[in-house]
Amino acid sequence: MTPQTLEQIGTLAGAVLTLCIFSYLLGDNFLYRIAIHIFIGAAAGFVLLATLESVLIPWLRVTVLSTPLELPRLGIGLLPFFFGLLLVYKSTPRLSRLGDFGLVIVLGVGTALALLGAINGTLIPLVGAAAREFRPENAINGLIGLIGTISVLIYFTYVGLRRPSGEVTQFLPVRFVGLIGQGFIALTLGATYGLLILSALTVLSSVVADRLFILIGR
Amino acid sequence: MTERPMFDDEDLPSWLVEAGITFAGRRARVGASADAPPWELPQRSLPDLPPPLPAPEEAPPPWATADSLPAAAAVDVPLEEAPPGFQTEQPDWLLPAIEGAETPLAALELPDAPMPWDADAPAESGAPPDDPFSDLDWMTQSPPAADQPASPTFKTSWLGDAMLPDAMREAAESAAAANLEAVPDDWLSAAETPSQQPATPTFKTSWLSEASPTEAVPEADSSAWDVDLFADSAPAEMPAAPLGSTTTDDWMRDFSVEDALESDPDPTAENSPTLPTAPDLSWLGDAAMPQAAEPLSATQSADWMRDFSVEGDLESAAPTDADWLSKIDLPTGEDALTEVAAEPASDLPDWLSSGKVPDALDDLPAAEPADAMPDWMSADSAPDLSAELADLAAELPNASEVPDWLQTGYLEPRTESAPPPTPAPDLSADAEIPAWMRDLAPAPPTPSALTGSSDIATSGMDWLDQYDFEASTAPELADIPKPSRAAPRSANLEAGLEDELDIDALLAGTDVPIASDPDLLPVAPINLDEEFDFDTLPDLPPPSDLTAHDIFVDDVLPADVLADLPPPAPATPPVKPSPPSAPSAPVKATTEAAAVSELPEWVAEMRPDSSPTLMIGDQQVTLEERPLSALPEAILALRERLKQLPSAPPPAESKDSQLSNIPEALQPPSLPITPAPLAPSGALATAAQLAGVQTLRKIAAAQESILKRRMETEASAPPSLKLRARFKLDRLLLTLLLVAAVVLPFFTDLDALVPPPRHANLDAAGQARFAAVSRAVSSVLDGSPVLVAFEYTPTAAGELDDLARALLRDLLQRGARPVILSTNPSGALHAYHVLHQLSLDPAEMQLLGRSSPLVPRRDYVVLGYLPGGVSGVRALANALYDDSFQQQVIFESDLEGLPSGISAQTMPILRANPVFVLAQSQDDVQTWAEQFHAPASAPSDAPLRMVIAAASAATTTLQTYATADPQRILGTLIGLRDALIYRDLRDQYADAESQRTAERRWQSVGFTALSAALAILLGAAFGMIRILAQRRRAQ
Repeated sequence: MTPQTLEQIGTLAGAVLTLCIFSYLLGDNFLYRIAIHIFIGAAAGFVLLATLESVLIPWLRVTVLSTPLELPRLGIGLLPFFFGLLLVYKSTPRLSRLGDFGLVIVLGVGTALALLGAINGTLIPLVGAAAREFRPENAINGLIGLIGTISVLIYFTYVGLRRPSGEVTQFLPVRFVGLIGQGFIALTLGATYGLLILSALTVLSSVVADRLFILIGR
Repeated sequence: MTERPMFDDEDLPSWLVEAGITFAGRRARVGASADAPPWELPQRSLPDLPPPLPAPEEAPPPWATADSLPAAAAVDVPLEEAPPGFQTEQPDWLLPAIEGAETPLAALELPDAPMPWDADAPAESGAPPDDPFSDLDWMTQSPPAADQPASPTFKTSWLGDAMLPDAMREAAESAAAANLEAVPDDWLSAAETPSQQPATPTFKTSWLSEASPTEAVPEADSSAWDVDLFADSAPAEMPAAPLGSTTTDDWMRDFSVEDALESDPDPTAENSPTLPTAPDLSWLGDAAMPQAAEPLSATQSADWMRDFSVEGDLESAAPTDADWLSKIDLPTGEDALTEVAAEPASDLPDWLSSGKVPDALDDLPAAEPADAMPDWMSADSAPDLSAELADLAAELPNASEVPDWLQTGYLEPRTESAPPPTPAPDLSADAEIPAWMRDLAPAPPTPSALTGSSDIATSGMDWLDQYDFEASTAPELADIPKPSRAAPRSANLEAGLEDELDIDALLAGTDVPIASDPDLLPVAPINLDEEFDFDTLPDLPPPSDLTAHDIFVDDVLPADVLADLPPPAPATPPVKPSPPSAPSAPVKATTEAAAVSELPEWVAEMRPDSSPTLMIGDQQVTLEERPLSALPEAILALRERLKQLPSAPPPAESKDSQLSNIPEALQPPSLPITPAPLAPSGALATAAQLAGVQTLRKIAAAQESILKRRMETEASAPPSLKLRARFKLDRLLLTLLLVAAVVLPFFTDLDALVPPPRHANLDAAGQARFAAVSRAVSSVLDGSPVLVAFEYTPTAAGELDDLARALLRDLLQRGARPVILSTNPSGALHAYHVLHQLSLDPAEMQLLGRSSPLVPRRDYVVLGYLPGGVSGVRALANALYDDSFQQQVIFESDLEGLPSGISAQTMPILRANPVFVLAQSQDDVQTWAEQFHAPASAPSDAPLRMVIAAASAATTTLQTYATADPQRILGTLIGLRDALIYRDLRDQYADAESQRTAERRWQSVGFTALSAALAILLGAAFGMIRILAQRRRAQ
């Protein structure tokens, strides 16, 4: 069996499984479920192998199993396993408190990185870009961007005034600007949704062209 | 069992110390062996004992008449046969008796052979803190001095004195030798005269009553325990006794006359394990049980006491089981009765003064002269010593420490009673004992014993025989009767109580005054496990408030027995009757709670093991029982109040009830519930509220009708339709429409409808964007490694594979070596697959100008999965600048685990070349845009640059970041359209057909998107028209 044959078998199997997935248009059925199970199982198995071969073994080889053995490297090499072991305790209600320590490390590091990245990689560049847009030749775009940003921020303002009747309402200007921001949000979400549809249609077209046409000989 | 002391000697009141009821007394008999239990370790001496009172020379026992003296030969025992301790350390009160060989006490001269108690520690040693038998130390204490009047210490301590050589030694050293001469030698013989034993109430050793006999104790053990009570070692360790006994259980045998024993062998010796030859105890039998029907054999008799007698054979000894006290305490004789009758009425005990003198007292012996009696007997019997006793009691540091039986002059009857002064059936002492101890205790002596009934011989002190006080270890808890709420008293005890009702009747009739306060009832807790302080005993109220009847009503006697009791004397204030619904529940509950809460540990362990179990459905919940005293006082008060509430008798509780197994559970009182009159409706709700109620009712009714209709529909539908999926035609039509739109461009030419993407057709801005990407690719040095991030899964391959191939072709054409990595395991594998397919396509290889396929790790490197998501990207950025092991982890091996060939020298090149990111979603774009920054320590003039190729869904985010930071994001490629344009720009089509096929894909996507947009618009319009139509119909 040549690699080309294996490739053709793989292509045919992919086409058949694609049809099984498409059979969900007719409702939940056995073919759809078996295709889903195959994909999930294959993905899980591959992730396990990839984690072992690409993550754990290289890590141990470089840290714990390195020669000559260095104590700092050994400690650092065992540290992730310690935190991982703590996370295992989350599965037991009695020892879940120990797992909180591992979870704190994961969430703390992730949150810190996300916050730092959001400030340095998103907020500051976007503010600078919005400021740079205010140029005479691009005043309209800058104004649209400014209005859109302010109105959306005002839309998410939840400060109101309690009327004598007990009803809580916002000031009329705030409501008006918030309504503009709501429009910007709708447009953004609509564009995003349209782009999502475009991506899905692209994938569908690719699948039809690359796989289903094989079944019909094209 | 714990070895902690029941109480410390230091905490004992002085009168108890003087009485020898100390823990040290027990320790005095304990050997110094290393393996001895704590309570047998050496004890300290008793220096605090008051000096003995001078022996009243005119205090002979009343029965010690001259004609009743036994023959001298009967007690003629060689001195060398007595234990060593007894040879030299006899108490002073015994010294006169043992002075002459012709005296009966000469028999006390034990041989020099080491006796079991010889191994015991001297009395000078310190007392261990733990000894559960501390209350038995009266047996081991030194005897009272000759000049000491009768006191509570005299109850049985004289017996212990005879057992303890050390104590005797101390007493002998301290006693004056004149006492030996002052006291007649024949007193003991007189005392042993059976027919002249004076009547005396049997003093109840209530503090020993906790060691009550149980059914679990075999009868054979009982005899053994009886022996061990006064023997310190096993029979095997017993030295050769002069009396030729094979066992050591009858140490008192050494007191008896050897000649008498030898000359008067016990015909039942064959059956007796302890006493081959027993002396005559007929006098005891005659005295204690003049009406005894059947004389018992030696095996059934009190062995040691039998030895104590100096004459008579055992066959004539009528006493039954081993109650030496009963034998001594129950004399008969007209003389004694006469003497008792001669006493002033005030000095007589109540049971005598009440006129209920037993018939046995008719045979009391005549009183002996005081000078013919030993000091202890004379002290006990001399009427004038009552004043001394009162003075002594007055000298106590705290009068409250003196038990009531002492304060009330209960010992006064003993003045005319006979020795040995056994513990009195002190009702006030009983009042100080909690109910549980009284339950464990044997039944008190009955009036039948006083009348000479055989019951006294069998029930007086038999319970004491059940325990081995001389054993090396304390009795096991299992051997101790365990009180149970379900069965608080054993059958034997109750039977014994029923048999011994007369004593209660007698006590009740004599109006023995005792505490009457219900809170101070005899269930006052005594924590014997902890350091017990007798000072903490509650002060009993004046002895005119409560009678014995009050005590035994609730705690001792069962109800049926109580009914048979004679009513209390008129002088006794009647017990306050409780309501019929809750008879004496509050008092009993309070006292029981107090007693349970302060029980010692070993007693607490004897409480019922089984916890109450709640039956909740099919589940059992075992409740942890806690003492009532643990509850707050407010709850306890509420509990008492609830019990006092008059309520109807609770209905018969079924076994299925949740509280069926909880005896202490509080039943809810059946309070009369009167339905409150309904308030007017107008006062309950306003009109608006009523309208709201009506609205809610309508909603509920509508919901209920809908549910009902649905249920009816489902029930009426055929089974085939129930399982069949609901088919929606509109969705099928839309699906078919989209499929047709996707397929149609491949079979027809739609260039007019969807023009193919060409670079030439782009505007200037569009061309500039592609030009930026082209420049970025061109900036890659030939043959240099370049990072390519495959941040997409195979699900997005239909869109991003074209972009990936376009970038990889361009990079490979420039001789760059793509180093592929991914934060997604599937992304890395898919990258490997893409490159593999690319290398297998000859057209692609021809396009790349290669004649051979691509070789992994040489032409390209697919690194392993980069874990951590955001953290992984950040770690990658740091690894490009830091040559730590993190760099090795990321770049050392590829996806297959083989060396990638990337070293630290490659890092500057990787930093200089832009990174090509293939992002599937907005999150991927955001992650790389935010995290792929050079660290702060890196030079600012060499930022990490990147080219991001993303799917159409990430267009907005990518454009935003690209616009905001154009210095880092060199160019962007979005979706299939940009891929086709870039291929057109970089001339990556092998031929026109391949370009046409690729453009048809875009036309397919475009046409399908157009169809989908039209479908959405049509759907929105249809929905709007439908809504308007509904509103019109609604209007």
